[in-house]
Order: sequence, then C-alpha cells, then structure tokens
Amino acid sequence: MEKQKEVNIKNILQSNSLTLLLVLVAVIVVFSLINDKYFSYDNALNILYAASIIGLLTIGQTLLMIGGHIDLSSGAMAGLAGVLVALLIKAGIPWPVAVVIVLLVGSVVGLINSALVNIFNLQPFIATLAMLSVCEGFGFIACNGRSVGIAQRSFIFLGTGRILGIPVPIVILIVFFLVFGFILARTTFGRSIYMIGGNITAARLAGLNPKKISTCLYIISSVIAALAGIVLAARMHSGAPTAGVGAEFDAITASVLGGIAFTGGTGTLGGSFLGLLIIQAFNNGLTVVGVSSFWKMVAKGVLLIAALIADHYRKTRLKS
Amino acid sequence: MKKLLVVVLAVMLLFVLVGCSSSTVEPGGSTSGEPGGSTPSETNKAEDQLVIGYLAKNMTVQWMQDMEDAMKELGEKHNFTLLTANAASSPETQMNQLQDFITQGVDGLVILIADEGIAPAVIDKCEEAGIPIVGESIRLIDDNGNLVAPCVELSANDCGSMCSQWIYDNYASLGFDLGDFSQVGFVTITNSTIRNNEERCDGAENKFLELFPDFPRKNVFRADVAGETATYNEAAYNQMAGLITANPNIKTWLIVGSLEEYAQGACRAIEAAGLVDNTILTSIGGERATDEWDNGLTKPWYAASYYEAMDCASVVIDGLLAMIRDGVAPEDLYPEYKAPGAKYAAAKFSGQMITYENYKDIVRR
Repeated sequence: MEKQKEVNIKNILQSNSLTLLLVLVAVIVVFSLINDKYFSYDNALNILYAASIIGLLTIGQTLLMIGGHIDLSSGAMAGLAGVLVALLIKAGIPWPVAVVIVLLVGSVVGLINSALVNIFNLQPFIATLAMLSVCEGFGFIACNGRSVGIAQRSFIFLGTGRILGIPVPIVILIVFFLVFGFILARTTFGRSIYMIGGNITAARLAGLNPKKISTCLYIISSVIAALAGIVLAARMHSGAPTAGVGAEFDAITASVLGGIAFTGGTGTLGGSFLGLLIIQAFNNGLTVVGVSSFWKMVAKGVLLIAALIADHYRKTRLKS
Repeated sequence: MKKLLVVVLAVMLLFVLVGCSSSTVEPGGSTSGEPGGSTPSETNKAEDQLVIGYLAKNMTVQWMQDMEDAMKELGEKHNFTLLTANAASSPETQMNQLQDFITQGVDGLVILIADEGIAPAVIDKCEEAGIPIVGESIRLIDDNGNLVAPCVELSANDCGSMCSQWIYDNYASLGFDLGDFSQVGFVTITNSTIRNNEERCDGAENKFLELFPDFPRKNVFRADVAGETATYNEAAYNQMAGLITANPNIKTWLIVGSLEEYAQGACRAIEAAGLVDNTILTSIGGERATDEWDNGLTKPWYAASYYEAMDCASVVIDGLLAMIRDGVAPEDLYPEYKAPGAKYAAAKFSGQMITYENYKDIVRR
C-alpha cells in the first residue's frame, strides 16, 4: 500500500502537466514582481480573452496532431469565416442562420483537407498549406480586401458579451475544452485517435478505419476554426480577411508546449490548455512590462525551441 | 527534463530583463476601469504625470518608429510616459494590446489602427473604460464612413497631387521627353485596403491627368499590394516587376508610391529591369528617400513629399492632452477641421517636396 502511494506520488511529480503548471505559476510570479498590475482579475481575464481564439484553434490542432496529422489552414479558415459571416449578416440573413452556413463551409474545407490527404495521399503539411493559401485568397476576394462591418448587437454579443460576468469567448473556450477533453480521454473515438497516431498499422489491424477517423478530425478542426473566426468577427465588430493570419502557428506552439508530439499518439487537451495559458500569460506579461515588440518575437521563438527540445526529451524518455 | 525547463525559464527571464525598455514605468493618473481603484506607483513623482499608450499597426514601418520617437520627445516636454505596442498588422493582437493597456490604466491612447474595420470595437472599449483616444494616419470610421473618434491624418489628396505636380514641373529639366505618351506609363502604388493610401493615389492620378489631359488611360496603372503577403517593399517590388514585364512597350515610367516603402520596392524593381535612366520615382513620405540619397543613389527616386512625424505627433498629443487634462470633449477637438454634420473632426497636416538637392536643409535628423 505504502509502495503504491509512493509510485502515485512519483507519477504525479513526474507528470508533464505538473511541470507545465509550475512553469505557468513561475511566469505569473515573475511578471507580477515586475508589474503589480499583472496579477489582477482584469488581467487574468485579458489573458483568457487573448487565449480564446487561439485556444479554439488549439483544440482542433491537438486532436489532429495526436492522430498523426496537422492542419495549417485553420488560421486562414478563421479569417475566411469571419468575412463570410459578416457578408451574410450584411446581406440580411439572420445571424444564427449565417453562423450555421459558415460552419458548414468549415466542414467542406475540412472534407477537402481530408480528401487531399487520404485520397490523393498528399502530406498533411503540404495539403493544408495549400488550403491556407486558398482560404486566405477567397477571404480577400469575398470582401474585395476590405473589412466588412457588423452592426448587429445580438451577434456582437458573442464576442463582447458576458455570461455570469465571464466574457462569452472565454465561456465558449472552456466549454469546448471540457467537451473535447472528455471525448479524447473517455470515449472510444478518443482512444481511436491515440491509436491511429501511435501506430497506424496496429490500429488498422485492430479494425479501426484511420481514414474515417482522420476525416472526422479534419472536419472538427475546420469547423472549430470557423467558429473561432465567427467569435473573432463578433469581437472585432467586423470580418477582416487578415484576421487569423499566422494563428495556426500559435496553436501548434501551444499544442507542442503542452506535450503533443508531432509524431502523434501522445498528449492531452489539458496539456495543450496549459501550454496555451503559458504562451498567452507570457505574451501578456511582455506587453505589460513594456518589452520591445522585436524582443517579444525573439522570446516567442525561444519558447517554441524550448517546446521542441522538451518534446525530443519526452520522446526519448518514452522510448527508454 | 525539469532541470531543462528551469534553465529555459531562466533564459526567458533573462530576455525579459534585457528587453525591458520601460520596466520601471508604472501607469499613473486616472485609471478608470480598474477594479478596486488605482494605487499611485512609487515612480510617479509629478502630480499630473501621465501614461499614454501608442497602439501601432506595425513598428517595422519607418513612420511609426518616427511617431514613437516624436511622442517620446513630446512626453519629456508635457510630462507623460509613452508605452508602445506593436500589432504586427494583426487586428486581434491590437485588440488584445488595447485591453492590456486599459487594464494597466493608461490615461490616453493614440492608435494607428491595424484594420479600419475594428474601429467601432476599439472605440466601444475605450468609451467603456473612459479612456480618451485619438487616431493617427488612418481614420477611425464605421462601416458608413463616419468618423467614430477624432483623428489626425495626412492630407492625402494634397500630398499625392504634390508628387504629380513635381513630375510635371521637372520632367523636362531632368531630360525626359514625354512627347510620345504611348511609351509612357504612370503608376501609383497603393494598398487598397487602406483608405488613406487610396486617397493619396487618387490625388496623384487626378492631378496627373489634369496636367496631362491627353494621356491615355490605358497607360495609367494602380499597383495594389493588398493581396501580397510579403513585406511592404517586397510586395511593391513584385507588383512593379509584374507591370514592367507585362508592358514591354512602355519605355518611360512615372511612379508615385503612396508609402516610401512601396517606392523603395519599386525602385529596386526598376533597377533590376535596367530602367533607372527612364524612370521618375516620387513618394509620399521621404525618410527612405533620404537614406538612398545619403548613399549617393539619386536616380530614379528624385523627390518625395516629406512630412515630419513631429508635425503629426504634436497635433495628436495636443488633442489628447486637451481631453485628459482640460476635459475637452472629443466632439470639440480640432473644430476648424470639423465637416458640417460630422460628430468628430479629422485634423490634417501636409508635407513639402524634397529632392536630393535640398533635403539636408529640410529634413530633421
């Protein structure tokens, strides 16, 4: 019994999530010491607010990466979704209908990504990189390069309103993390994602259909990206074709920092959430203490390098 | 693994400490929107020392760097500290930075907005927090084109006109023969997503066609960098290179860059095509031009409509301080520029033409 307790404690102490939590606490403590306004309720909300859009993209990215895939088009999809929903609302379509239409567009993009990877056997990196360009281009074409304003207050509530004092984008973020976290950890579908990412041959032999599962993941990623774009458009009061540009990079960084391996098969959404919070807390801290924006770029790059090195050590440890 | 992370964290902290340009600055003055009220920082010694936040669209652009320098200089004179945030052209990043500044309790804001479409959202946040804001260079407008806050902008049309007028006044003395219009091309370089850019190009184009009424419309080009993902210079290079290739019949190019970065990109494209002696290049904005002239490169970039960041910054800061310290309402700022029926005013400043012959007498370094 004692030995069992010892093993449990050791496992907890060695767990990736605890390490990430300690890093997050360290970031908060350091910045709080430099600027006393960092550690405040309002600033905590700022961090979560900033994390809300990237966080949604991180969910889709995490699921795909655990399954051994990747989606570089999610940021561009978010931008396109924002433009489309703004145009539809401006054309007089009720916003709930506009949202459904745009989410359907997201699912189509996801299907296309899946087709490119599963039918035409393109590398996910290349296929989704190409779709990034397509989505971005369509975003610019749809609005002729200019942002489309949204005046409908009920829609804008999605981006700026509050539920029980918590901003709606943060509520959406938390709900989605909880739902997909449950799916990943506690359902058969979730386990199958790990299997196809860990060993695709074994998964096939076990009776799983990797192509079907990955298709679901690409659709989920693009639909969530579309939702992120809709929420962003509500927050910005406009759909901008430049919104979401580069956001997939931040989502991947958060996932890798959170313990998701590029090779697939490992990681949790909880880890990704912590990775996301670390990045946003770090970004926020650099702004708050007045670090030059060019140094911030260096710091972000260093953070990603650290994440990749940590990923390397994690894989080595798992192998041994 | 844990040791590695500790080392990495230490390196990151080192970056923070080294990169902190104003880490000892604490926001002071009024801090509406902050829970529990504000606590004056120990570093605020003067009673009315203020903190002003500058939300810049993209700090790699010379203009914004100059604006930052000018406002810091004004800060010493008017007793305020400037905090700068670089949105790197991302509207979402700028909104997050705005939220951060509001939480930090800045007393006022200056913004060169990352995307015109987010202006209503920005103003909503500022009004909610009770923090006055002035837009610079790009108007803060709603979807109907109405101003939603006071702004200070370059008199875009005038500056564009100035460039075309200069070309008209000087082409002969520069040895250019524009007798055969079929071999002459007039190009304006713009970003069509930015209204001010378009207005500069409209000013240049309209003036040019007024001065050369027989000039064929098919030889008037608008190079648009909006769809390019490259830097400003590279984007303009790509556009100009494409135009040159597509129009081999054109032997003489007359170019107006709506930004100096665009002009620089076009300049490189002209050089690469071997058309330096057949081109007159002008720009709106002249800092980059002066760099070229300092290096002895006096062709094809002959002139620029030069305007100083301090001219803009002075008007912006005067207006902002009037709102913060004197309680002037935003609707009452810059009354001499207020259009009939408009709620807010857009104050204008203009430039003057400089060339490689006179720039040292005019440009402040």
